[in-house]
Amino acid sequence: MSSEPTIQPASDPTAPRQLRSAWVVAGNRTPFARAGGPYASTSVQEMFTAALDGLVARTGIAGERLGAVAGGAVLKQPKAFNLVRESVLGSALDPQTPGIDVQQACATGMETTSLIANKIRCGQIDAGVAGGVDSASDAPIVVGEGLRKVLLQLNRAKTPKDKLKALAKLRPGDLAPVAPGVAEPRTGLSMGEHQALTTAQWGITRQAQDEIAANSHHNLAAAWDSGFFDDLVTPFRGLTKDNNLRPDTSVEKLGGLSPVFGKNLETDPTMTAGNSTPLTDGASAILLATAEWAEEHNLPKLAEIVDAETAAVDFVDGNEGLLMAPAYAAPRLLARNGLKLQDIDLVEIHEAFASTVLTILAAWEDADFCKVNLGLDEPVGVLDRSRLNVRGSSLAAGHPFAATGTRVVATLSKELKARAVAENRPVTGLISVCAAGGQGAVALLRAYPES
Amino acid sequence: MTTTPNTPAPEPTPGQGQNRCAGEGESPQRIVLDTMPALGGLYAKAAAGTTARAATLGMRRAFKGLPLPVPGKGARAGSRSGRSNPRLPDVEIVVPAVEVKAPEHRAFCEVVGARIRATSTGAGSGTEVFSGYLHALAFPAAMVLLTRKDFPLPTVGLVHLANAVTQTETVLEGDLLQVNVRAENLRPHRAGTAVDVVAELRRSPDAPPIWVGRSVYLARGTRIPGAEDSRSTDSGTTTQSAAGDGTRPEFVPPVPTARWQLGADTGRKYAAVSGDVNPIHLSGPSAKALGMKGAIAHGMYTASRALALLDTSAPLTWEVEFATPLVLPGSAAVAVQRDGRGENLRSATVTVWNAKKRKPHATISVTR
Repeated sequence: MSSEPTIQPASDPTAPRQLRSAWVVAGNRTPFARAGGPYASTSVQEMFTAALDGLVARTGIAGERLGAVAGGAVLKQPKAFNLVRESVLGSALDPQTPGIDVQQACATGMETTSLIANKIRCGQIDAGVAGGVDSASDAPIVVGEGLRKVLLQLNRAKTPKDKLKALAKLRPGDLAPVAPGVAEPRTGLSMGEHQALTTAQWGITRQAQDEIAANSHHNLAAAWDSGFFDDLVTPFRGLTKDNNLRPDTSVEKLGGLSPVFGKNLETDPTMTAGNSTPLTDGASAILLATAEWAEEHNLPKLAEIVDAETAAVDFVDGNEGLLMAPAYAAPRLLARNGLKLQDIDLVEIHEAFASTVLTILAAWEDADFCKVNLGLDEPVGVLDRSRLNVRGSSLAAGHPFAATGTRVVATLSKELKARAVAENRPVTGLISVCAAGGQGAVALLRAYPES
Repeated sequence: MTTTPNTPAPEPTPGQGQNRCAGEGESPQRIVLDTMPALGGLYAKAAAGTTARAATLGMRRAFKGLPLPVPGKGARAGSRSGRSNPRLPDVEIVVPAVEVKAPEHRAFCEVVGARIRATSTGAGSGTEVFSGYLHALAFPAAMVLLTRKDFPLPTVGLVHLANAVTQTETVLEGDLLQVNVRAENLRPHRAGTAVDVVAELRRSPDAPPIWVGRSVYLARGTRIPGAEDSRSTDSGTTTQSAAGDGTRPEFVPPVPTARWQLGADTGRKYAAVSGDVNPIHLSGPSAKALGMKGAIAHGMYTASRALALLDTSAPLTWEVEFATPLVLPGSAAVAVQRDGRGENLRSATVTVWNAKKRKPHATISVTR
């Protein structure tokens, strides 16, 4: 246990504080596994602890007290209310490191990144970990509303008579357990059904979706083959590689799958299990720090977290697609930073569904959408597809909800740094992650050739 | 009724203690009940008073779209009372002071998904009563009327075609309301005989109503003896709503915005909070016994759930047209179109339909 003093006097407490740069200095994740697979008997806490320990081991910071670790899970059992702090206590980090639980559906990892980066930028902490974890295998099963009310009343009852009275209210139907739904609470539509509406609205073809899916698998497979993930992934529970990856898939093979979403719409269904992400288990984490802290610890400044933005859309009555918030967030972020989409070297758009990527891109190309919905005189414009998801994305890797954000941040940071060095110029990247509740988080990252 | 709460309202006979016949000799005759009756007994009476054949025939035809019987042959109008006179009883059922009880109201709201709204406008501060619940509040009085021996249509086979509610004032939990129910406008319908049952809620006997609900019921395959053939009178009338002739333009499903998953217990849950224990809603076997494919959702459950979805407050008017029944358990596609949220809502439509079969279940429109 560390006995390092936790108070360090400021050199000049009265000096105005400047915003500092927050840098991604390392990343680590477990291989992602399809739900019900190798991680089926693992808890989210075990997985997040494993991701943390891998990060600590890789960066040599065992026993260090960090400013904070922020993480979270979308599917979390009530007993895991302090999931992140408990994971820290079980990790090789100094137990004096605080933990913060964050939850913003699939954008959780983006928000933890933003949170830790901002703490660093504001001078509150010098280094911290952002991450996320999810397990569709270890999802909490809750009791039905009827049984819950009886149990609560039973808990309050003091006399045996009152307890009996409470139990007498129990009906056989109350005993059925309730699994967490993937349906939006306000609409009852699953995420896939929602996206099917957006897909139909934008007229996205089956072919275009299957191309996105095939590219995702091919890009991820190439990244694994080239050893790209050697310093980004630590094997876990016997798994060394994302097991949803299908290197030999093709547009033709994907074209043979039957549609699963949008089957009762007036348009032909186009969304299949192949161009939709599967339920996945996994954890990811990144280490963020100031330049000084990174230098002291001999860690590379992979990429700077330049800025972040979160948007939300009014999807409830179908005024906007459930997963379209990034289409709003990214142009706001770009405008604030004086950038255009075409200035971005690498773009990561989380593939909740292949069509999520395509509807966002279609919206940006649509002059009417950009004028009416974004207030832009010029459309955001066309994205050069060779800049999109170059190391694969969620269709291939899988999507353990809260873990996706920091998977992407780590992957993109490493790729940006490599290109910055190779091309000897600053290289900028944009990340977009859509989330349940009509939300979307985007972030701007930049890498420089200098170490 | 104070002494036998489960017994339906008897016919007005002189000397009956718990009922008072006000305005004897005037028109209409007022049947005053001291308390709201329970519905279980009324359904028992309805079932007993209807020949099983007439009931099941009506139900089957109502929901399976079987060809109509030749007028006169399958008709059971007036057959229960042994009279051939198809006139509506010229009576009004009055329950002078019905309290809107908070626990009952909240239980109803929970089942249909209505938000409990605190309000401090209009009628004072308190919890606003959900407009859909007020239909349930008045419904037992309507059943008293429908199950009378002199009511010309068979109660058990009645199909709820449409409902229109105009609410001009906010009602709060704990309010005392007078319930008045009458039937009017007995008329031939393309598929049988239609009738309007009008329920009014008012704050005092002399005050104007603050909630008026008009329910349109159809007795399928039932003909009014002596009435002209409705099929000829209705032909060509397509602009008329379901309250009129029952013909509909082809249903074009809108873009769905939501989906409802309705469990097998949906009917039982709604029955428990509305008191409407009609067996066609309670279970598969009880519904099948009455000629249905399976248990079906209460029309007013569908309407209330749609209204709850809009989450808006009185004053308002809402109209619902029912089409095909929603068989339980099942799922329904839902589309909400509205021009604003909450207090800013002026006009809205909720369409509920079967996505697989492309058949509408109900359309609810709200204006305020």
